[in-house]
Amino acid sequence: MVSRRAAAVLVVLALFTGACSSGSKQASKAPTVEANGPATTGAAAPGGSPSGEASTTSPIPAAVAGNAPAGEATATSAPGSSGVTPTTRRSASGPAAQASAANSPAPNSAPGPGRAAPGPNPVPPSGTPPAPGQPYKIGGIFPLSGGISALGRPAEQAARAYFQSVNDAGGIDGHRIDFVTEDDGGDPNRTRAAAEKLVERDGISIMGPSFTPFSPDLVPFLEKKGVPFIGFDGVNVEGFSSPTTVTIGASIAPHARVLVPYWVEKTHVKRIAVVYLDVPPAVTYLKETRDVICPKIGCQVVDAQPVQFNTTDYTSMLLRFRSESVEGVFIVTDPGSAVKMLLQAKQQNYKPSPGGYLGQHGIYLDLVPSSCGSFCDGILAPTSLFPPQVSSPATDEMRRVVGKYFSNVDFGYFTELGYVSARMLVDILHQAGTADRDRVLDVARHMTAYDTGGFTNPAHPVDISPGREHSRDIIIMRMEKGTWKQETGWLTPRQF
Amino acid sequence: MNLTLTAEAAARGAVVGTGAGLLAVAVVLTFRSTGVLNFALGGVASVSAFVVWQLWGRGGGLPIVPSVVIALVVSVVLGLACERVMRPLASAPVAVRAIATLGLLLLLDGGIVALWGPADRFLPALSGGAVPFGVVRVGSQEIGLAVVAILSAVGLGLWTRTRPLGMASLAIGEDPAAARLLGVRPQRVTAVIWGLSALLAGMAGVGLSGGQGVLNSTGMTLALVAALAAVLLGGFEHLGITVAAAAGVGALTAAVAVIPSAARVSGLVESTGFLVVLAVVLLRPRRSLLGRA
Repeated sequence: MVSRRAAAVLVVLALFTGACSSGSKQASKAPTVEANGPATTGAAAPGGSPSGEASTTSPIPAAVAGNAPAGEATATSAPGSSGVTPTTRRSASGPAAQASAANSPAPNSAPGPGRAAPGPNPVPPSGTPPAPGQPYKIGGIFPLSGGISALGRPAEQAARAYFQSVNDAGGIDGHRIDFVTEDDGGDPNRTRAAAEKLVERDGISIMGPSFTPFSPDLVPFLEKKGVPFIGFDGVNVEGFSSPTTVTIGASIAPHARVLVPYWVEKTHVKRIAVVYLDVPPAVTYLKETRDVICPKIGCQVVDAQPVQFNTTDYTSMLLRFRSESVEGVFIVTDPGSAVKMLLQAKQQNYKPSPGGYLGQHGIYLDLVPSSCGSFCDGILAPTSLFPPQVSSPATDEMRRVVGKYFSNVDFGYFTELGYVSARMLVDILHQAGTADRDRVLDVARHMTAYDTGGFTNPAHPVDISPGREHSRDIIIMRMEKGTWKQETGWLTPRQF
Repeated sequence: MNLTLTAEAAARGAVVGTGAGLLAVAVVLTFRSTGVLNFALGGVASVSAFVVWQLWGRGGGLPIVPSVVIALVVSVVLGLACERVMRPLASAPVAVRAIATLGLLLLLDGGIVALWGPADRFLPALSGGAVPFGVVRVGSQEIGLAVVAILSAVGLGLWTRTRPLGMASLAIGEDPAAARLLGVRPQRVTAVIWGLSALLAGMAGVGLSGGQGVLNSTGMTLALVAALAAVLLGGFEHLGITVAAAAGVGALTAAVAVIPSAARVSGLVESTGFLVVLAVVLLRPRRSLLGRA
């Protein structure tokens, strides 16, 4: 006689475990939402709008559409002593090169005017730099498995491809790059364990490009250990105030402050529903939209629906939105959840009017429009990097380099951020001439007008010095016929 | 609360839940013959979906029908392999055997990651189109899977009552020693049962994954866990009640998701199955339609 009672107990336990995993939160605390954002603390975009002015909507200029600005040569400063230089690097001549040269501190020189004020925590003594010829050991943490692996894997591949291309060209002044990565699965507990392993067991000199959006504790940990973090993803705002953290990415606020007003103005949507993954970065997007942006521009968040990675039924919430006369749905989830939702919306033939659906940089990935087809035409998403789907010397180079080492890589914001962050790190190491932590951070502090070689707005060289968030311009993309198209030129985030 | 909308959403949820009940049928089929609570069926379902993705979904070039057939054959082979691994544990306690199937599940999930990587994949729906039901539309794939689940439950119910092998499968579940004395070969019958349940799991994996669009190594495991609510409500015995329970849980889950105040409680909708089971276990009388568990 089989024991049904024992089996019943096992079933109840299994269901309880499943229920608990559905309701669990991803991080221990939500990042603080800065209601006024970095733009009101004085860090206006270089040459950007004065405080209080609306963002500019410019037609796509030729310079942005892919051609380097006049005067900016494409000759390179090769990272290695020989071999093909894989990217269009800093200009060898022209005003951009002069600006970057000015930002590169001469030995024993006084700090330049662009140097950020030191933070409250002085940088601890650095670890032992590699001996001549020894590789530079760089760490990276990415979600290679789990719910956001669709974003993490291509980001890691893009960064690794760039480092590999540098190695193939001879390394950085003879030093190869040893890029050691760990998979945290998007779990902040695993992120901490991965960071400890990289720092204490693997002995990395620097934490390089990483994607840890659910782990606000990583930056404080690295700061405490004295490990520079060059390639922070910019999702959690705490990282921007760290004196040892450098990012070329933009936080959620500037993305939202360009995207949502543009969408509202374009479609005249008023009643918005937000479907958000129940994790801190998505909550930040929700709060930014509901509490900061919409009150100022006349929209209203009438429904906010949390979902989990394992949510399978989106139809019921879509039906509810329909009954609530929702005019637009803001999708603040990972790409997989967005695909599930949009497929069910397509099945229900539900596209709210007049706003339709709105994405964000978390779903800006090739996977989403290719899965959704023409039903998703018109969905917008922001990016603070020149879009990889648009041909330009920089993005063509990136695709060529990444394609050399990996096939079928999904490009999007975080993929490109991985690549550009790797590029930035190599630039810093080359300028520093060493992986000495103090020296690396000193170089970064002076990079207040960094020329990304076409990945950011060439009219506004970016300030990547650590210690505070710097403004970034944003481009809005649009889904069309299974791919992403450029919707706007560079837009400066509004201040609210 | 919009009652019409809730009813229509519940109706759609019932259809979707019925399709998911195919996994529950697979679990009951194995359990009532062998006493094994087979968690590995979640892994079999996942493998089946990945095989379809490999052959058809990623542009592998094979048409959909042969891709599905191959996937189902792979499922049956996996089921038979799992049975062979479990054979030495035939006389072990229920909990031990269930944990062993958890080990098989981990092995299958690990195999998926090793072969296809840990990242999510996109699997398009096997069949497009939807049938309107009021303002709600129910996908033809979801309807098809629900029909398969109902036919499976009915067919297996008849099989176990009218065919020798079917009756033998119940006999070895009730009293293996007596069944052996009557000429039943338990190992052969067990193998058939494991193969059949794996086939059902494979069909569920293909149907459910295609409907969701996103495929990963753990999606079907979570679907199996959710289906366990129906297994429990069916008393680990009644296939028809199991399918009906799956439909009921699906309907209730969809209805809850339509209620704004309930839907905004994070995780409540996904936990509906567990809450139903908890309520039944705590409140139901000893003798009931819901089995003896």
